[in-house]
Amino acid sequence: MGKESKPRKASMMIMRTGSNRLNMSSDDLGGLGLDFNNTSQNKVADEIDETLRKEEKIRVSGNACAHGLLRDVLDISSTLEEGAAAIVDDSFTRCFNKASLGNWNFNAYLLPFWVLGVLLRYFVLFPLRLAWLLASFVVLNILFALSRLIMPKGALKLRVERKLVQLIAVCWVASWSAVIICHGPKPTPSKGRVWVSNHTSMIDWIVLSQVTPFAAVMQKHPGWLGLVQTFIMDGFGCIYFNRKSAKDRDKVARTIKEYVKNDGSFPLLIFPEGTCVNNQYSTMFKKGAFDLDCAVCPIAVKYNKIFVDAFWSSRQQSFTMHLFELMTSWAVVADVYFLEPQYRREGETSIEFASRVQAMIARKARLKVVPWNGMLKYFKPSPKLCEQKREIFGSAIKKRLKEDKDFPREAVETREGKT
Amino acid sequence: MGQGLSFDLTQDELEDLQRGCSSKFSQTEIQILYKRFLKLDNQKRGFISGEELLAIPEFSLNPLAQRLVSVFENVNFKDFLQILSAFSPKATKEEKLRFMFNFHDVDGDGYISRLDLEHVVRQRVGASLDESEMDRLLTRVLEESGSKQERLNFETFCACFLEEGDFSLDVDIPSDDEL
Repeated sequence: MGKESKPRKASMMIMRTGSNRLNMSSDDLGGLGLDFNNTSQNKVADEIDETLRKEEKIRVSGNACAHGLLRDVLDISSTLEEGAAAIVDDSFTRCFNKASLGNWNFNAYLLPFWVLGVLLRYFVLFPLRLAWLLASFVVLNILFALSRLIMPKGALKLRVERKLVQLIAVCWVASWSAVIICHGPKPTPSKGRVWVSNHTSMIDWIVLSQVTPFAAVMQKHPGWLGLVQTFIMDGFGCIYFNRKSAKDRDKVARTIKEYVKNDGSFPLLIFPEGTCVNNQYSTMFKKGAFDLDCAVCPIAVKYNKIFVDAFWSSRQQSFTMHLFELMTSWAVVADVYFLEPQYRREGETSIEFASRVQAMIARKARLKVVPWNGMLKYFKPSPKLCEQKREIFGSAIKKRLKEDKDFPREAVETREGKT
Repeated sequence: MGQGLSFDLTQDELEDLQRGCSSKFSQTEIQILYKRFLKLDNQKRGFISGEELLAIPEFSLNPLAQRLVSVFENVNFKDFLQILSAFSPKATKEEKLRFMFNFHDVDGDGYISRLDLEHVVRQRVGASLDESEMDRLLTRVLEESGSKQERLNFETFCACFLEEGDFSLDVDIPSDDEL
């Protein structure tokens, strides 16, 4: 019995295998939309279709080995389950819905206060914050550059650099008058550890770095953000990749492995979802970060949407606009939970490990786990996909039929003998 | 804003609905499903049309979407709940099997005939099997079932799903803070 139920379980996991190819991708693709030309977009879309096809194939074949043909033809449970789930809750589009701020219950004497608030936020707070951000950014970055150029290599230099990065993050966070409450032990850098977190916006990295400076694995962005990445963040071991290039993925995977093994100066932060989700859902955790043979320290970040939704919906909004939105709100409110480090258990695959850690984070941050690959945000699954699903099932059945033709009696007999 | 869900249905209506689905859903879940039902029912006619169902992207990609539509379309909320109750984790294995059996039983005569089976299998395989292959498959399958009249009744159907934990037919209802 256990033997038969196993393939079934495996087939449930298959939905996540997209991670094989779309490894390691982290941070938001957002800026990518800008410089993406059509051909490469199609290429990646094809790649995704391919992944989904593969998943379906494994799923079907996993089922097919376990049972008799009759059972396979009659068992429509997983397809029905998917269908009903879609009727009950259209979870995929929900993952990326930005919460609109709740309407006020306006009345005559509340209105003046609201207007006053808007004026204050946009015309007093925002200029002050912007000036503060720019000033601190320039000063600290000059200091950072100086320390890199002048100071001799050693523990002191490292300490100064860490402190400066942290200060940049602190100043940045202050420009939203953020209220961030940390729970759990403060992370300390060391070899053989990697931190993983759910992902809501590029600001996750800033929020976490003001606790302790992290090196992140992220998408290379165009524009001023790209400059910051090249000239500053590069200095402390951030790892970049370009999602559209498969070659990059392998390279990044190798770099991460090296980094975790050899360099503990800046803790490494990976966002296994690989894309920004609206902080109410959690899309599939890609297995890359869980393949490193090291301790995985989960971090759960929960934003409070009371003043502003911190979700960066990168397809609709540039990062600059996103920052503007944050800087014109009263405050960004967030809870950060540093959870207990997890190790891969004996016999656990990296995919199972990834979903275990995801469950931990989701529970803490009150997120709902959905099986979707976050990459689908950028590429709409084509209607052809349905036809492909059919084809895969069809060819699996065909194969079974062919096998049956070779040994028809035998198959029937063994089955009857069992029941 | 801020009024929550509870003003759409009265307590009496809720209890009535809950009886209608044999308490397979809690009252909170019923309210959540009601919200969802209203949202899907774009034209506010009291039922969800096939087109409205197929407008859900995830749903439209389902190989069995056509047959699912014929089960779920044009029913009022009470029947909708009742049909959906097979997907509740509280539903028994037999209820779930009954749903799957009825799903196959396209003409509704209480048996899965060769034609019923062909209808569903055709939707699952699309154009990838030609007529003769389909024919062979159906013959082969009905032979394996051991039925003499080339049709399956509920008992034969259940016999294929004897093992514990063999299949799952559960659907999570989202919690209301996400709505």
